[in-house]
Amino acid sequence: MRDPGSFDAFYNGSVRRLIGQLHAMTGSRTEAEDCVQEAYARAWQRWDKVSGYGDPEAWVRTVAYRVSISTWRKAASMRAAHRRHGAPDESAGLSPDYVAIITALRQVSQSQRQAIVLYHLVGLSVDEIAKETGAAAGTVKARLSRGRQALAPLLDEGEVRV
Amino acid sequence: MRSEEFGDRLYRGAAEVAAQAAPAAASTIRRRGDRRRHRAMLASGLLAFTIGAGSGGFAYASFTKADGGPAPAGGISSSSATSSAAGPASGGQPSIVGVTTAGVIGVLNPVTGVAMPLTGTQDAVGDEISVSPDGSTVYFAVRNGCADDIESVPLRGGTPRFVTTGVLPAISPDGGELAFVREQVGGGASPVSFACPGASTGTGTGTGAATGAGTGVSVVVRDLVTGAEKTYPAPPGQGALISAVSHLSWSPDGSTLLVSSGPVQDNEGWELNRLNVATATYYMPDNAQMKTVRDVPAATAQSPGSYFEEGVYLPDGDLFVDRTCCAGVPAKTVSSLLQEVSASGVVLRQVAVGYPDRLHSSLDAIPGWLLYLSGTDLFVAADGQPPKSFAVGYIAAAWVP
Repeated sequence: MRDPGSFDAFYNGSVRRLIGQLHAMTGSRTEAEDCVQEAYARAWQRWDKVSGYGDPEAWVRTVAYRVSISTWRKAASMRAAHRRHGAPDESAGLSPDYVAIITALRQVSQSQRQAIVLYHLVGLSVDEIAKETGAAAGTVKARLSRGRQALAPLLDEGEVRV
Repeated sequence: MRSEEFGDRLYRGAAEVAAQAAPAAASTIRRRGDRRRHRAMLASGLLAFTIGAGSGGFAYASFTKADGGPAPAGGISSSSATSSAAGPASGGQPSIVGVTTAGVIGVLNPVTGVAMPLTGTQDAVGDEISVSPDGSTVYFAVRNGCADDIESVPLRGGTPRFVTTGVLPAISPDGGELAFVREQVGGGASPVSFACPGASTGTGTGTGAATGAGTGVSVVVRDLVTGAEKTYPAPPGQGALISAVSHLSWSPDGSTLLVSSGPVQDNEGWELNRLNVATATYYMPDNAQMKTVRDVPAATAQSPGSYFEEGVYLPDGDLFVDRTCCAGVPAKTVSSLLQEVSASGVVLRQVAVGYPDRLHSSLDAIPGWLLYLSGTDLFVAADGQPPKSFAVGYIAAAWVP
């Protein structure tokens, strides 16, 4: 039996945080909001199971990320959004430091970007990232290392060190 | 920049985004989830009905049809019909297969427009569905967990079979090859790997190493006998960005794919590209060096700012296209015209005026017949005749040859 109260509490307590995290992964506010809300709808669809998971937030984050990399969905929603609103100003209201980081992140590979965001923003360990992404721990370490190397010249302030 | 400083800036920025976000109310999200759940239950019920009521496992589960109007795909009646899905046509009109807005694959009766669910599939996605030239097999894309898979099912019914990972299936004129689009996740030659819980265990192999680092989009042609795949990059976009691909169409001789693509970054970059699959060469409308051999239309010849958003080959080698206006920022779509044009873009016939707010036209053409979507309304047109509204509630459709 799905409990609306527990879902609402979970949603209200985590949706903004996940939108922030997805924004760092996708670089688009519209896409982040769209994908996160789609993921929550899927979570409610099977809330009797998802609510029993140890970390439902990780489930929603993973689904939202996978939704975000669906090419067909991206193309369709991009067309719809452009028709409704024109090209959005994604950087309005954000600090220049953060805009610079997001711009740099968009220039590294998607898997590296995901690993970097999960490590530096979400605060997961390498093992936790491996579990969430389904990659081996060594692969996660390599993605973090190569991602940092790729980011360093883009941020123009030298190395990103651990 | 030190790690802590990087993390701190990232955290503060994400917090800014979170604070400025305007997510929907939880009750709205629950309603959205309930609709998905309802659709899933509905499709399961349809499958059970089809198996239970059909002789030989195949019967009509009729979608209700308004008197005198197009048949809606959404409502379901308990009545059943006995004629074959691909049975006698009305005035020679062939059958149509479609994907409803509920994600169900259906075969539309050519007389009534009533649809019969073909599979228990509930998560079919657009925006292309394709039928083999002998009319025996339907290819379609489904969302399977977090991945998109292409599956096939006999037109007479049966169990869907996994074909490969990808979207936008388009069967070649000889039925031997399947063109589709595959997204590549991550860099290098790594195969697609989806870690989403409950996702398909599809192999994702054969992606090749064409697109380099980062997520890329590839056009793939798969030999349906041997499984061998040829991978081509998506059409080049503007700068370093890659275009999204929205539709694929084989030329009548099977030598070329018409690749509809766009937009890139903003409301620009829509175009039709011709891909010679033998030489792996793209011909694009804005490539001046290819002007003499490009044979690819540019809508700007009709009107500045216009673009061809989607196109398919007609049986004689001309094109059936959706011409839209206007590209640029801010986006302001004011017109959508369905046209037959020559390979170089000369208008041969205006078929119809479409809705400017539709998402996908799902164009298809066979000898003597055209079909397209306007919004989610399905229109059909006999050769040279004005289109008529045939059914509503679809996100993709194709003729049964």
